[in-house]
Amino acid sequence: MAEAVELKLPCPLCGKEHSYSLVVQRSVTMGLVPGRKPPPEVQRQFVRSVMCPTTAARFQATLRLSETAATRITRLTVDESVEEAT
Amino acid sequence: MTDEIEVVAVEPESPHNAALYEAGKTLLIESVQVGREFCKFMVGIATGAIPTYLALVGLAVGKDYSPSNAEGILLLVAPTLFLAAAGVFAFGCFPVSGTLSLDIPSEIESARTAATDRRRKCALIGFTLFGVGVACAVAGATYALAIEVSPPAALRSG
Repeated sequence: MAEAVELKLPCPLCGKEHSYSLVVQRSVTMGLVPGRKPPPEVQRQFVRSVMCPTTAARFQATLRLSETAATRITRLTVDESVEEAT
Repeated sequence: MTDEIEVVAVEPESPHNAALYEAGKTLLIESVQVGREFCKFMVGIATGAIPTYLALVGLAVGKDYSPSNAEGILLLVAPTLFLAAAGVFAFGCFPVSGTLSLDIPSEIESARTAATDRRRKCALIGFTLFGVGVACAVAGATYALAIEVSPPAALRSG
């Protein structure tokens, strides 16, 4: 299951804020035993390299997302088609 | 399900990550060339193996030896496999036409994947044929060494 999320990042290179599309792919599994307590939520960190549209140089962003055993993140990609956030 | 994303840090790319990015870019660009270069190289190896094998067998049995039909077929298995492998490798180098737009990255990606998949398949099939050919060549050369060649009739009577 993939979900696109808008991500606004303050650029360390030009100082402006840029907007990116982050695609989160999760492997969602259903529990078969009713009434069982949901799996604990854990925080995972990802480092993604993105392009600054002003300077055309790359910078990296460390992102934190939560997942459980039932909603494991399988892929996290940043769409490079960036737009200037106003 | 909505993802809550927390931006922990935003910083200029570290030298290590920048180098990794460049390495990834090189891998991506060269992925098309690797298969083509391998197929091109293996065409020469597979075709070159045919005269090498025939020369070895010729050396083992001598020029006066005339194989029976069954022996001839047996000794020709290896060169046939080498020829088939060379054909498959040549097919891997064969240019393929297609259209793609540089504005659409997904089109470039699918064209690249199709090219690398095709060459990988050709390389795998060709190399399997070549490997089996080498095994048959070893067996054929060993068999040729074991053949006892009787001297020609003129020499026997003299």
